[in-house]
Amino acid sequence: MTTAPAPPRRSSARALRWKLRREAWGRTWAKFRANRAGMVGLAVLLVFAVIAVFAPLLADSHELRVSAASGPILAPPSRKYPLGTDDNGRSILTLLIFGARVPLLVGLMATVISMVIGTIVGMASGISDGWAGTVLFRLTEWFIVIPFLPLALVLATLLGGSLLSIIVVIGITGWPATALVIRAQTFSVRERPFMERARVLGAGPWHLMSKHVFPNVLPLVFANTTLTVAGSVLAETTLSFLGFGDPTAVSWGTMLNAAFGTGAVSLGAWWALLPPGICVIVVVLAFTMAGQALEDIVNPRLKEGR
Amino acid sequence: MTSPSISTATHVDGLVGPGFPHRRSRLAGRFSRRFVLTQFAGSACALMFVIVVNFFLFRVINPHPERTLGRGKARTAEDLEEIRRRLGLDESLWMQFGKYLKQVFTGDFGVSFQYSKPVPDLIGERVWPTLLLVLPATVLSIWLGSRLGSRQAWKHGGRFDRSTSAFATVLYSMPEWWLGLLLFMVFAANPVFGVFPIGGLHSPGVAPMSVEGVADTIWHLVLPTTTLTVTYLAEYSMIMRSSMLDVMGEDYLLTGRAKGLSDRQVLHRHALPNARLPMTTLIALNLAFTVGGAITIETVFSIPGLGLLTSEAMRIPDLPLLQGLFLVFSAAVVVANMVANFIYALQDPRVKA
Amino acid sequence: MTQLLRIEDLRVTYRSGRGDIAAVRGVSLSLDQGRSLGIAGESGSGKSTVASAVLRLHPRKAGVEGRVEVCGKDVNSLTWGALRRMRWSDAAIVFQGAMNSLNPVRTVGEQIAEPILVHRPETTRRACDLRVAELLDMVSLAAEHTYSYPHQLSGGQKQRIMIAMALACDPKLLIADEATTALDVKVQAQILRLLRNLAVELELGLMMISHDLAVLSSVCDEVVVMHGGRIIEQAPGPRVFAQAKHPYTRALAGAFPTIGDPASRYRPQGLADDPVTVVDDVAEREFAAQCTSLDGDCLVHKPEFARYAHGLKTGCLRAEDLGIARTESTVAR
Repeated sequence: MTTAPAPPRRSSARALRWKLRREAWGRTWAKFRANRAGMVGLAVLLVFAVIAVFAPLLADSHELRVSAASGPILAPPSRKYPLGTDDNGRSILTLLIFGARVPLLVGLMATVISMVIGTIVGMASGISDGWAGTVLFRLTEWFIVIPFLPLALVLATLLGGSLLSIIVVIGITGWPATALVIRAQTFSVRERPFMERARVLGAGPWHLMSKHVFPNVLPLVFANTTLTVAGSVLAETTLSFLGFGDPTAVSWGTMLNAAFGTGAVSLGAWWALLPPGICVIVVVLAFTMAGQALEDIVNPRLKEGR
Repeated sequence: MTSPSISTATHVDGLVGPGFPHRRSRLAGRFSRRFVLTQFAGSACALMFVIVVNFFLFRVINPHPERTLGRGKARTAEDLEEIRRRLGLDESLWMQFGKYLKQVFTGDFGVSFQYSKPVPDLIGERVWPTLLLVLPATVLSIWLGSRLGSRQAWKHGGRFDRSTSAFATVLYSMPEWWLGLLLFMVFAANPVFGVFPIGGLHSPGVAPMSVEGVADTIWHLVLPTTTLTVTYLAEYSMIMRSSMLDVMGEDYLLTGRAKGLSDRQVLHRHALPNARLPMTTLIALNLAFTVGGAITIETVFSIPGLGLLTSEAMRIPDLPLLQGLFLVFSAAVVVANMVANFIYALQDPRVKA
Repeated sequence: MTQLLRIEDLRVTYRSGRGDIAAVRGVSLSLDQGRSLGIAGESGSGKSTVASAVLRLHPRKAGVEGRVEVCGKDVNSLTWGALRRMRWSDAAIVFQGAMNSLNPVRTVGEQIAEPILVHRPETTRRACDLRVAELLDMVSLAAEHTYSYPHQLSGGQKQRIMIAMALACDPKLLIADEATTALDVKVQAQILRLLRNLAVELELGLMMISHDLAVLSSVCDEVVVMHGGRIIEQAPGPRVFAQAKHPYTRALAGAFPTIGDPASRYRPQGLADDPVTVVDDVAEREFAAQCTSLDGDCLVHKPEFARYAHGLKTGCLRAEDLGIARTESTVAR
């Protein structure tokens, strides 16, 4: 197709392809809009994204400094501190607003890493019949067996606790699940007639991958990404809770770590425990709902109104 | 003598009892030598992979592990050199790998920095609390989760399904340790409702091996086990629900109804035994995540098991101990996966076992 | 002779998210002991819905009107308990064995014995064993197959198992729903012979459902042709090909090559399109568009379903033009 020396036809084919793709995305969006849970999830995510981005406008970042904290220690909610204060006398609300940044940033960045590795490995192992595909598949399978948290903890211990290392740790521990999903999808794409046609026309493996397989697994990658972010946010929170993470950055996980470590939970200071926990749940739930809505659209067999 | 799933299915409706002539012992001669060998070889490969990863992690990713010790606390150059020699880091990578392999196969994982005890001894001591916590929680959650999930799917779209599925999704989105903290705050630390102990496995002054001691330990385990069970249950019920929904379109359910079976009989004899198949596979895949729960929940409830040991070892960081723990956790998952494959083969006659 | 099955003006409507679908729209049939009736039609014609209505197997949400009597019992007014007792002991269905009609994780012996133990819980283990062996023998399968799992059997063997299973509780009425579809021609012939012989030997009423008119005409005393949820033609089995006048029936007949006539394979005949939806009047309009000899009069004048010579009943307006004599006036359809 790309070797045909007929410029006008070629450009029109490309235009047609773009038009079809635009229409496909439009249809997906229309279906997504009809999915109530998905739309709720998306709306919640937008709210949290706005909070994270505009945190400095919503709250005073000076209040984050322990030395500048002026409030009473572990005070219950009051008019001045709507969600109470932590063990250093800082406003929980302020911490909560700034604490949204790290989980979202780490969640998204780590997901990008897992998706890139997972998609490449998944497609490669799905498209190649030879030993390379087998080796990649076995590798994925073995990686899936390695327990996630111990691996992440060991990696975090060895790499040290910076934001970047947490992103890398979560990113490289999260890819195998994605790889398996993408591999399965690649297999089903391979069986479709247009692949046969492209092969007969002399398309090489690279062309097949980039022009035929990738566009067809892309929607699934998208749905899977959304679900993976949910897992990455949970992972970030868990690692921070266990004491890994940038000690200088505020995140919901470190807030919970402090609440546990300094005895706020034992003292019954529910305002130190509930707000960050509920925020984590709401964000993870929102990503899950949006992701499931996308999955239903991409893979209607899963739903089928049964 | 028979596979667990089939026997529960038939006991539930009680109709098959003595009348069913067609059940030969399924275990006797069920597994061919070839199947057993393949399974063991596959697991051995996975274990080998884990062993290599373990070495890679601790020696290659971080070629100067001695510097992470004490988390950046200043040490003199001589101190670091001493530690390097003690860890055998002054030799070539291949030499180290050879030594490491020898260590692994002789069960010698070195001495814990923190406890000054051989790592295998330490792990051996601490493995029991973890098993006490994880095994009941896993069994309970699989049992309850599959009941819940199949009931949801059987009446899918109904009020029960919608409310419990929504609840399961929320639980699924919840970090298990946060639920643990919540239960801890309300039922252990609270002066009014706090009827459960705040942590550990034994109350002081109670002999662990006496009747009271056992009851005391169970009492200590109520909250952590509940936490783990509830969070795993959410996940297993979701898995079971979708497996069941897949099965519900199958023709053999219609055959069953046409034969005059009641809904319950169709469910227990035809739907469940088939829905359990993907469930088994997915539970096996999930086991790798189950280990994480042990780490966080033992930390929250200070249960002296492998999980708490892990989070202590990270803080030092106690590298030999971490290395041993990582290997134990991975090996446990590999073995559990193999067991799951055997169970699957028992449940599904189509597998060439 | 006893009447085993009587269906009067049966109407079944499936409720779906996109509105109601009328799958069966006024079907009347009857079947006596020892007789066989074939129902022909393509997918979506409502023929399988008629079969499931006999045992009230359609989804609970489906709307059912009309009367279905099996061995004198009004199926639609039975309690659940009575309905379950009636299923398989009065009428049994031979499902398509090639599909997933057998549970893959149970031995076929267990599955054959299941209805016996459900309907007669007092049966002893030994009696049940013997009965299963006897049933397997009736369908010419060796007794060892008791311990086989469905995946170990061939398509023909699975179909025989389905037949043995259907006979387990001595039903008087046997419904074969696409029982020979997806089998190769030789096996198909064996299964057909088996079904016919069993029906004669056990004096069963046999209702066969298939899209294959040739199959039905070779086995059944009477054949009805369904389209769009209605019976459009009825004729004596052996004479369907020769006599059928309705253009749809002829199209259905033309859809299969005549064996031994290579030319027929190169002249595929049939309908222009698959009628898929049966939402209200759409089917009629579609049908008008497909009818090979029609000008759309069918839609304007509701065609009468009338009796003609040689046992033919048809709803085709042009039957008389096509050269056969009407014997009686209109019958209800």
